[in-house]
Amino acid sequence: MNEPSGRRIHLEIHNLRFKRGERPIFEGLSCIFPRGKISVVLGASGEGKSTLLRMIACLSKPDSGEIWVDGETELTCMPERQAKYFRRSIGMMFQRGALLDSLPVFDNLALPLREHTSKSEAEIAAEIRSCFEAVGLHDVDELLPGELSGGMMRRAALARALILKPEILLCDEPFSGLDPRTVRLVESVLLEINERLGITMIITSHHIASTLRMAAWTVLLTERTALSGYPDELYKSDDRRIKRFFAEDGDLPT
Amino acid sequence: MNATPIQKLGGWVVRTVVELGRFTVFSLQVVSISRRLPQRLRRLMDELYNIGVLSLGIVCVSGAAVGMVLGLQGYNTLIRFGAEESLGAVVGLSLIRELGPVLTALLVTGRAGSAIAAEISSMVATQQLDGLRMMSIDPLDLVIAPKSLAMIIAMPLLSGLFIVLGLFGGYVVGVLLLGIDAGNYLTSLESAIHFGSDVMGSLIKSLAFGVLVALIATYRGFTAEPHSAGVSAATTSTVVIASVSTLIADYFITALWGV
Amino acid sequence: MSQSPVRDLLVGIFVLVGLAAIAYLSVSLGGTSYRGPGGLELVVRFDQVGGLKARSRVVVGGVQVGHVTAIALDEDLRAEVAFEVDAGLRLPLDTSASILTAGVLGDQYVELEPGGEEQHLQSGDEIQFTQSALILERLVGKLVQNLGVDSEE
Repeated sequence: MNEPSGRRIHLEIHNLRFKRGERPIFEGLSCIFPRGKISVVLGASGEGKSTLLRMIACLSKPDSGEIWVDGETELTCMPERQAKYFRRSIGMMFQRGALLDSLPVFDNLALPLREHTSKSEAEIAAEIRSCFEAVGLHDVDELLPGELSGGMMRRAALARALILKPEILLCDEPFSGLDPRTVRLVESVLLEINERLGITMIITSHHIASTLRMAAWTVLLTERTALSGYPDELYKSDDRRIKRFFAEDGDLPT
Repeated sequence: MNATPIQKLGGWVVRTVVELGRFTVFSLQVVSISRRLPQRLRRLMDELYNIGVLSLGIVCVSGAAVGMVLGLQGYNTLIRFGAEESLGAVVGLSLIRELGPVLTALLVTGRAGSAIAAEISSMVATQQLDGLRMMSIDPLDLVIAPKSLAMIIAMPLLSGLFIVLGLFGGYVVGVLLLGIDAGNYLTSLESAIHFGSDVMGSLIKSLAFGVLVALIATYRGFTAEPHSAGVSAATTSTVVIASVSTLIADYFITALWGV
Repeated sequence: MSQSPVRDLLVGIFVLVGLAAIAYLSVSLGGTSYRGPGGLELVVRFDQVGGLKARSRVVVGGVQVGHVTAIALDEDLRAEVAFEVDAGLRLPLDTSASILTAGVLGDQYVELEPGGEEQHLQSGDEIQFTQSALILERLVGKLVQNLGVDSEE
């Protein structure tokens, strides 16, 4: 498979091995993620898409292997203190939102700003306003996360992931459980964010259709390893494993 | 693989010791992170409301009820020796030394301890704690420490209220219903209670119980499995472990303090 | 993050009421109030202290003024009771001390009866006039003896 040229690689995953109890999840998984583009990680359930994302976010560590950022920083050997600081440059949009359900949406977004910056309340409100605009949310300030609809909740989670202006945005299954119309809505928001801010985005998904619409690069997790390439290359590939994955999915574009 | 009973027992012992080790590490981390609590006053106030104010109902009603029962039972026993005028002393000593701190701790475990475990474990299950970590906020700092400190503050206060209401319950039964002289009730109460041995010991007990329940509830919540069965397991095990630990600790404190 | 100020008020009330309950238990019942530093320390020797123990009350005219701090045997095998009373108390040199029992089955305490001397006891002085504790069993024994003697006469 062709790969993007060297200086445009943002993340390099090298030979990850990971076992959950007795069950092996990754056996020698390697792939790269290009800078400033949307990459989609595909795979059947249980293949480890969320686990890979957690490792990039420094929330879990593999048994062995390396994750390189810009060829300089290695994540798996990072001490917790440094990892804590590093996570500020990564924004994560969780599958079920993961906003604190005891706080209204406004305070959820304000929390990282109040903790880590010395901005005034007025500045914080302005930042939150612009994040809401970027994701297309209005009038949700006082609502509790439990009161949001599925699409609104995803967008609020996205807004929170963006509030600290991260360099890498990780989205864990942003389309799961949404109706087709809302899927398109979230898709367009993500595309617009990528265009406007140019940040590296890594999305995990089952949705092949939206993947082909959005992705500049795809990584398929299968048989405890990864196969990567440009989306249309991957889709037309003759590799038996790739063909089997695409054949099993019912959501194929016509 | 069929393990012999000895192997199973050995395995259980090892697991329990490991768990105790993890619990100790967790507790030390919570203590260490507590230095940041001055910045968490808002959350501390909220937690004091959830744990303290909302437990007032059950603690006060139970205190009065227990006091009334002590009044009745005490009277029935003392009257056989003609010593019924010492009812104040009996009710007071029982409440202050044992029933106040222990029963308050059990009630608070059931009401607030289980709520804490349930809330924290469901935050684990819905990835809210991971969300905090992604924002470089330590869940121990924002969530666990305020809840723990609120419990430690609330426990002696609630215990004191339980005892005072119990004394009142004993007064209602003994003086108003059974005809003991009010003055005698109060003087026998006052002469029997010493600050150093009785009241101080009672406060130390309720503080110790507060620490135990706080750490057990937050630990079980924090280490819960991230699904609904995990939430329920965390909640029930909190109530069981915290209650038993309270009773065992009660023995040791009583023996050591001489209360 | 504006949770209702009513909640904060309730928390404040809760803490105040709780502290008040603890204060009542400590001071009013536990008797911590008179425990200030620098009390008047006195000593008295008895042949028999009965059930008197450390922290037993010391009383003047029915009012508690202090407590027993220590009880020990001296070289003559008499019981030496050390106690502490309020610092400002002016007890004449010929004050007497007796050990009484509160009620029939109650605790024992030291009752001080002031004398008429002009000069007052200082810290470290010993009270000279005493009446030892009455042991209930011996009284009953004496009573039984006397009854026996009377019936014989």
